[in-house]
Amino acid sequence: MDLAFSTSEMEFRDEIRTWLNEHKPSKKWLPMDTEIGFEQHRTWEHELFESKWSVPNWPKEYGGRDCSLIEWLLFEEEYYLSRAPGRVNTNGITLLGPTLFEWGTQDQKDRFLLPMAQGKEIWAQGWSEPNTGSDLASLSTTAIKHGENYILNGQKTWCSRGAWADWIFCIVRTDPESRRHSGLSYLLVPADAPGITRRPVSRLDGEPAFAEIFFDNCQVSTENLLGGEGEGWNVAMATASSERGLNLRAPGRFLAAANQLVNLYKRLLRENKKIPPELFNKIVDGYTAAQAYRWQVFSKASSLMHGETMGAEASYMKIFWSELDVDLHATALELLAERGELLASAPDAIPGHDWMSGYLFSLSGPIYAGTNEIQRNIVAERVLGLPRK
Amino acid sequence: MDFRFTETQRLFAGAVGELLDKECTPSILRAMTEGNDSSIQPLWDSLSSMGVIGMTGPEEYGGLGMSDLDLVLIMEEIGRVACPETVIEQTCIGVPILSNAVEGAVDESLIKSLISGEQRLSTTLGSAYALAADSVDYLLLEDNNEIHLLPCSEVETVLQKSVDETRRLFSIKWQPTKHTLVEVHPDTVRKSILSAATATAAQALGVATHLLETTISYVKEREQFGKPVGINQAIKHHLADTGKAIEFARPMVHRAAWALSVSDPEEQVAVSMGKYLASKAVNHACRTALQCHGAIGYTMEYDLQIWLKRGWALAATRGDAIAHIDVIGRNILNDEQNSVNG
Repeated sequence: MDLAFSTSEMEFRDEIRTWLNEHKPSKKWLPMDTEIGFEQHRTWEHELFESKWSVPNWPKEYGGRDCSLIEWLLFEEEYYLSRAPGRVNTNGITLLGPTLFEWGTQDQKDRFLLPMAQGKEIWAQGWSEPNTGSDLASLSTTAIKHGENYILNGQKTWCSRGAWADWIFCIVRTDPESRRHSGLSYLLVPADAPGITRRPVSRLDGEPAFAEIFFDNCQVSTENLLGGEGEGWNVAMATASSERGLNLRAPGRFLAAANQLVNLYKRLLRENKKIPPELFNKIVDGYTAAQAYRWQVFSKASSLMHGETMGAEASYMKIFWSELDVDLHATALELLAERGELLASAPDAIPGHDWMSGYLFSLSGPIYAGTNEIQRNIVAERVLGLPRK
Repeated sequence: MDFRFTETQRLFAGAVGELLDKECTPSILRAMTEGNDSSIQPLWDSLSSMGVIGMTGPEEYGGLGMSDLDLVLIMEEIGRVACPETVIEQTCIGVPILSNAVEGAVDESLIKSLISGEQRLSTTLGSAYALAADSVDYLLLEDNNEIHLLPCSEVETVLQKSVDETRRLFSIKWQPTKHTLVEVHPDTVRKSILSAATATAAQALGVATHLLETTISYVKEREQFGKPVGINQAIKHHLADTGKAIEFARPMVHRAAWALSVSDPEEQVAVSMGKYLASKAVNHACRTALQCHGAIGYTMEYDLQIWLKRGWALAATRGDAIAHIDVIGRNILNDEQNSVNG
């Protein structure tokens, strides 16, 4: 065991830190789920790509640096600490990307990975449906083979980036007679295909967030099938373990939030605010939990780098980071007391501390990517070995 | 960056675990309690002959010259079987302090006999009470930042009953004199207290792991309404939360042990974070285990109580959650940037 970073890991970290300081945009852009904001964030993806920072952990041939998992985690830490813009293509890079590497044909990898890394093609996820949330296997959007095409009918919902994305990765039912997990397929759908209608849906504070996507006899080439027909569930599980575990949530985000929380506390002390010790204990608890997440991730990364795999225990990670995120933000709101309910635009709000918006965002964590109740079932049944029935 | 233990570290801990499974069973622990004993002599002898007691001692005195990192997995095994011996007192505190004392300050034969386990020692360094003080040969005590070593015959011990009958605690009445003073390096004292807190955290993880595993077995077998109680989501979620608490405490305890073994500048806060999380994890495990067992877990005759009591005790001793929060809090207020990037 050696938990110190190697010289090359430190150099890697210095390189990204310097690059971000020199390149990160000075102006705040519009939210990425608005039409203009989406394109602003796309140009940032181009810029990251030009310096080989958009997908540093991917192979060089697809625009990456082939960096190690540890280096990638350091990249993420630096990224969040720098407060650079959010990544508009996270769905593509961290969810579909790893799935393409695992399941894609050579032609599919050559076709999709580079434009994804460049930010030329931005992806949305089309999994949930109005009647299909936690119970993904109940989905009913159909894709019936007709010659060289599938014909899609149905509706997807809660699609992040769904309103403006160029492509959607969907799970659809290719065998209309099938039930549950069999007869599902994983299909890559161009968002401009005829027969697609998209409707943006705002989150609870009115900010743009996700979209509903309707398919009405929409034709998609059979070449866009990822994995075999009927193999969709297995392909989806590759995405899901990325989504729940390491890939979607490197610890950088929570370490940055924990730091912000400590800074907020110090700022309030300077304003001579009285802060009860119980509240300080909560801050320390949140800070320690963020560190625990960080070292857990390094520990997992270390085993993954030496050939071990991560299965259902990814669900532990998802429960932990999503509840940590809520706790950090809830503690900040408590600290802010009467200012807790203020939006960032209010004159009395503390500049640079948009905790309410962050809190609302954090509240989606325990819901999306499989609710935490489902994750606890997965942990109990597949990690701890409790009976299903 | 490499978070893996070596094969030697894992094999040694595994071998100690096998020994403990045989020599530290619930019936042996119950016999100890019934006899009002502070120690199980055959168990102590086995740990000594395996080299565990002298692990941290220098090789020229018969020790194994090992570090906190080598020790941490063994401490988890010790916790897993609720082994009550004074391993932390002797291996983490007594041996490192005395074998690194100023030359000539401690009799060489005494150091050797502590390393071999022939003689025994307890201490109040880093804790309020001395464990098993009525069954050891020496006590290592602190007065006014100075360290004193006294034979047990020269102190008065007062039993302070613990909820855990296998932990016989004593407060010590004694007089420091010129003859009892031992000239030691202050840094070895500071480090040994951190080492003991880390070992306690590792033992707490072992207890929590046992509680989780035992409870899983129980809820798979115990039937109500014609089905195992473990099919219920309420039970599943309790156990998933306990599993989560252990899962996220463990790397922090291992990191604390690593930090001590390389004298990392963040060792103190690393230890406090490890012990804080381990204390919380074991308390969570105790609560879940008892609740999921129901009334049977609340009895003296069922073995669960052995681990519940040890869990409560280990959570409280060598810095409870609040004491360690204090250390972490002071550290992050001074320099939060450093600990993020460290």
